[in-house]
Amino acid sequence: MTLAAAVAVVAAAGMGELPQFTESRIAVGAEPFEYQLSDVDLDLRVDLLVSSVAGGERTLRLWRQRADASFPPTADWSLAVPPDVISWSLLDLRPDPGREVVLLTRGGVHSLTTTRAGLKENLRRELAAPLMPDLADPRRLPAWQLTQDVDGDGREELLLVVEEELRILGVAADAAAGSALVELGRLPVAPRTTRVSERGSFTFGSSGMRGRGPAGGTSFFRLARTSQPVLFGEKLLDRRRTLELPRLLDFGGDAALERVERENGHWRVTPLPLGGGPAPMPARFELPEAARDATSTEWTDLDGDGRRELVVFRSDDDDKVALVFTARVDPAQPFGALIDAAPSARIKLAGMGVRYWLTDVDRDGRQDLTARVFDVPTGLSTLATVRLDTAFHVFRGRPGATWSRAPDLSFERSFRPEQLTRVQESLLINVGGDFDGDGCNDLVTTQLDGRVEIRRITAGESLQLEAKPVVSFAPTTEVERLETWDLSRDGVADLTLRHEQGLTLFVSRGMPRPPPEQRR
Amino acid sequence: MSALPGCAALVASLAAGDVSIALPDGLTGLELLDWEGDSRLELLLVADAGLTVAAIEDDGRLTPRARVERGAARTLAWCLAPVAGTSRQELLALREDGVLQRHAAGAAAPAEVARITGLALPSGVFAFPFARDLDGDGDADLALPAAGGLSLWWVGADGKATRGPLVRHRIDVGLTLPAPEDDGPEVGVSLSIPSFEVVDQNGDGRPDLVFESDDHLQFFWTGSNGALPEQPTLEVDLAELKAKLAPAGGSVLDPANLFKALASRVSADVRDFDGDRRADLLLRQGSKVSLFPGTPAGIDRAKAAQVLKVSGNLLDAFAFDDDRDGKDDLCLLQVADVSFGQLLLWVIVGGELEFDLFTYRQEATLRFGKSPAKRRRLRVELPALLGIADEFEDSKAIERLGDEFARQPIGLDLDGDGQRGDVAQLRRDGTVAVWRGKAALPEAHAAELAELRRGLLARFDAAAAGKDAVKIGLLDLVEWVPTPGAAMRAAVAGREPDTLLATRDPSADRKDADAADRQTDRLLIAADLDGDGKDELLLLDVQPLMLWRLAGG
Repeated sequence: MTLAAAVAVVAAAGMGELPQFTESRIAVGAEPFEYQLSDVDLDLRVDLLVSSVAGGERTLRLWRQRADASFPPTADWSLAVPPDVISWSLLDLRPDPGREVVLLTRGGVHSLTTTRAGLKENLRRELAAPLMPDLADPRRLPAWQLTQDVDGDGREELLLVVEEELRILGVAADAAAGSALVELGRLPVAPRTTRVSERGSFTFGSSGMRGRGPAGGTSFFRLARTSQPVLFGEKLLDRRRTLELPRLLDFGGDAALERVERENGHWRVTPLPLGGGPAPMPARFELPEAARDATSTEWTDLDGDGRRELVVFRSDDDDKVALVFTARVDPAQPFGALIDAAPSARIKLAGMGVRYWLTDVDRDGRQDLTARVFDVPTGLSTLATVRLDTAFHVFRGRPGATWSRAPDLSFERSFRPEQLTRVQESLLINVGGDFDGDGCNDLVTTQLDGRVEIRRITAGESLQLEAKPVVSFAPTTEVERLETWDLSRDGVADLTLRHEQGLTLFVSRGMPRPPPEQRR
Repeated sequence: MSALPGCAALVASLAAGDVSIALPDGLTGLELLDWEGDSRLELLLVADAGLTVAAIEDDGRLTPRARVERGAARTLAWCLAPVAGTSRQELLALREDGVLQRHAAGAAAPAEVARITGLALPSGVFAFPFARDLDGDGDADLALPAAGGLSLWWVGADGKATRGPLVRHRIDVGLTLPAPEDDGPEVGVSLSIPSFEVVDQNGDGRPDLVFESDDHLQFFWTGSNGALPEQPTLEVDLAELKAKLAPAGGSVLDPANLFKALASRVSADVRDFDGDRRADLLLRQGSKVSLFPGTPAGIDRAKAAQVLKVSGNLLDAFAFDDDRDGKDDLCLLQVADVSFGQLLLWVIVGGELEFDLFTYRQEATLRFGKSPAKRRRLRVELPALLGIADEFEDSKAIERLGDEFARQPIGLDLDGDGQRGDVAQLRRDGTVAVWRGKAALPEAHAAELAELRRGLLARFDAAAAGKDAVKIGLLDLVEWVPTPGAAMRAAVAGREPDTLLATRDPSADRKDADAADRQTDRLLIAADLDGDGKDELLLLDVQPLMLWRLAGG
């Protein structure tokens, strides 16, 4: 039974009402493939783009979402991608309806509309420049994701790496013919410094001195008798070049992005040099000790009060912790933030693997801390007793940039080893979408037999996870990944299941409302 | 030409008598070559702007001899090609527009070798050894990347190249693309093309060609007319064979035995197993191992000389002269079942992993015994994987392994007797130990897989002391790992070095707590720079880039 059929059964049994969903099965027929969900024709419904490789040919295909929330079985538009195309993106560059597909090659940028088939009388050169990356992967066509609203005006810019610069390109509103791309600014990027091999790290070949291959762009005495052993076989060619790009964040909270660099215990924040003029001056922010070697950090308004907080995640062996540091206004600084040295909230969980992330599960405007934990209990050390424990916890966001001290919701499961025949599939979990439209996200999981289940979460004083799934169905084929997006833009979450060679999409049939762009 | 401009000032010697070689700024590569053909070596300087061939003067100054400008080209790939019958080397330069030029000493202008279409090369100025003799005529031919493989070009006596076949070969492009949410966004591209073999496979004394991609093997054997064919003599489509073995249940695991996944592995080895100088085929398909005999014209896969099936988890099947009777034996390496429960126990309390190596003797031509002549069982004790990182961190064996993989000894001929009986070893602290000797020593890196296997089996047999089973801890097993130059290290083991050269590398000072883990980044190079038959030593420091000619070797 599929989700759509399961929903009908649930409704008939009086277990509550879920919106109506339309099920679409997309047979990609090739593996590997990559996909992106984006509103191509700007009709408020999110469309599906798939890049795949079959028979040595790379193909980009578009499925448009219909008014009944369905996707057609065959693609609406398809392109056999030329071998020199390195990656692709979407941008509204031409007067043609909707956004154009943007193709990036070694020599520049081209656009083509999906309202016409093929390249002939469709392809238009938008920019000639020596782009990086400079080689196409014949077995992959990845999406270029650096299309961001950099200046906060509500329109996306295209960010490209040209030689050793990051170029920010806007779209001219009145460019009927010729290229619509206009340069707004440039930022320098740096070649990644080569690392010195350290004891036990076995970074053979990564430093340019550890292997004879010219890793890192250098090649010293490769043909001579040297102290450098040849490891893993001689290569005809082995060349790697990596550039470090600046991290761009909305640091000031005004929707425009700033350049944020982490340096020796502080952040250096610089407004972007858009539209010429003198180079902007950077501001410096001291980081708390715990943030200096963090696994990851987020600078975000955690509690919805309009001010940003620093959220720090650490996943060291002995310290799997999430921390919040509030920031106060500093009138002497252009962005006005003094980050407190002591955290306002701290959550530490035990387990062999802990992953934290932020989600507003109860949709109250405050971001909740969600955590996924994997553990093998050390006290159960025989074949008869050993097990894998998994847990999912939600700590609700509280006023004053804090989280609940104990989990408001926990979903725990233990697996015996013999149960894990579909181990990867059994561990999928998602809490990113509200399927019943009650204003609180719901939990999507997979069961040992591969069934997909949705359990309702209700929000009151505490979060309640219903004991029984509201929907349970067996997908047609094994699920590799499950995601929740609002593809019909009706405020109700939709479900995307990724299989080895295809996708299944369950899309709710409400009327679209224009929320912010969602993209994968 | 006058002295090279833009050189850094000569720096102080590392030690008395060492000569600092004045390198220009901004170099991305260095190589030695015999440009003039007088047996004296010049230095090839590689920079973003292009290539410079420079003579090394006695006082360390560099005198330019030739220059290849990059100009406006995004790509300038270079290759050194030997000139038949001489010690002279030429420089081949390939630009992104496909123009391949030959630069040679004494030539007034570069000569065009070929114009190649459909090239896919990365940006920059880099070494790419695309020229080698493929057909045995003494002239360097070309192997260049094209869509799906390598495009071969034959270079004739007139120096011009003509297009040969397009062969399938592994070409790996790796893209790293940034995402807006990345903490440290990066953009990167890598291109990796493994080398290929030029070796006589059909016993006619002429070189044949062996190309390997992820899922496809191709062999070009010279015909009776001495020419290489346009179409491969033998192809093995590993992907097709693997698809036939793929289980119906997708990625469903067997929790009782995780190694069941080995049942869909496919591999092929094409070389001479029976000593008739013609390559044979050893084909492993899951648990089935087949042997097909070679003929001068190829290998007939219609009828196998022998087929063996194993019931356990077959990790590897290879031919190897285990009993040293001059004929390869068939070796099958198996691993015991491991359940998901055992894997979880390994995480918290450790466990044991058991390997069996069965040797089937070659009793007649490509006929192996029906039952194994020898069985070796290795039981590896695994510590709890939870704490294994700490154990590795504190292990002296791991530290030694890291040292030996980072720096191999170099065999030298310091006295000009024609034997490389001396040894130089760059040490962790950046100094160079030199041992004098007479008898030629084994080459530094025995890359032959057979030698590595032989070394491992010798360690096993020594530990087994006549029994057929050995139990060993994982960290003790590290001691068995063959490292490059092991034989040369063994030759000087226990001897004090005759000479210590160079000063310590300050960046590898272990007294500094922050740098206690660091090894030197220096590189030691051995070459007969002045053509007198005696090796000299060069030492390269990378940060900043400095090169010394060491005295007193």
